[in-house]
Amino acid sequence: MHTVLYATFGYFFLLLIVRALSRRPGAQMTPFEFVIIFLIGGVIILATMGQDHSVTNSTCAVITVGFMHRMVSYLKTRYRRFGAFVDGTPLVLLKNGRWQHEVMERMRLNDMDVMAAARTKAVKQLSQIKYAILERNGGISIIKKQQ
Amino acid sequence: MPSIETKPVEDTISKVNDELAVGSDLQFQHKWWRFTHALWIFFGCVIVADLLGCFGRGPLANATAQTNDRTIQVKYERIERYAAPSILRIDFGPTAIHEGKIQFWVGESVIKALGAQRFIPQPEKSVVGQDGISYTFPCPDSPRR
Repeated sequence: MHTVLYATFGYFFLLLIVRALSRRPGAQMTPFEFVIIFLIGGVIILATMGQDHSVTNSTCAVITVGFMHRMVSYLKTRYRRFGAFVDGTPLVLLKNGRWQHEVMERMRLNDMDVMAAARTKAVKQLSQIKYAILERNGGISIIKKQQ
Repeated sequence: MPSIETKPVEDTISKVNDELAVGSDLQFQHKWWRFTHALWIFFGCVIVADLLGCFGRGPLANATAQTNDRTIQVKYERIERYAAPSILRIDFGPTAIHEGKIQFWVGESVIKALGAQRFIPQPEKSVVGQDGISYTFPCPDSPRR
């Protein structure tokens, strides 16, 4: 009983924390983000399982988290607003060759992050980019200027 | 073979510069940023409250009670955490010692509510009575806890 409640609380609390941490942990994971994800995950597991480390307890916790995930996935596709709350919305970082400063600052991103994504698209310099979009999964999409 | 329902594609995703479908919602994003700002202030307050002991295990949570003649002094936590062990420290004054022993009775209401997992030092003898447990501790001349 407690495990189900704790796992439910843990799931939504972790979701809130990861969302509130900005979007970087999703895709561009550096060692800095790994530390956050593993540490928070470890702490939540301890609180969820409590003193009972039995197979039954861990199975119930895993199933509960699975159910929560399924429910959130369904609500995300059913209600766009809920999806925006859970995953955020795409954000334009660079438009027509101009940085969107407020977005960059609030999402704690810099030109190095955009250039890292640009290099994967064989873009050699920032001036070749027309649009850079921060996607919901934390990745950065690059649209090149027409030659 | 069962047929799959289909529908025509509609341009439902908002565009940037009327050319790139992104689906960005800056109005929502500004609200989200305000929310997360407030959330981190709240989390900051939670951490400060925790350091102060508002959730137990800190200066504000520590409390002491004693008898008028200071025979018994009890140090306890004013705020307990659910399903977490805590320490109750009891200091006995010299007047509590009789024939080199201290006899200490704990009522059932305390045992039932709090439990008694571990005693340090171990009692020499414990006797279960009708409405509580009586513990006997060996005691040298100096006050013991």
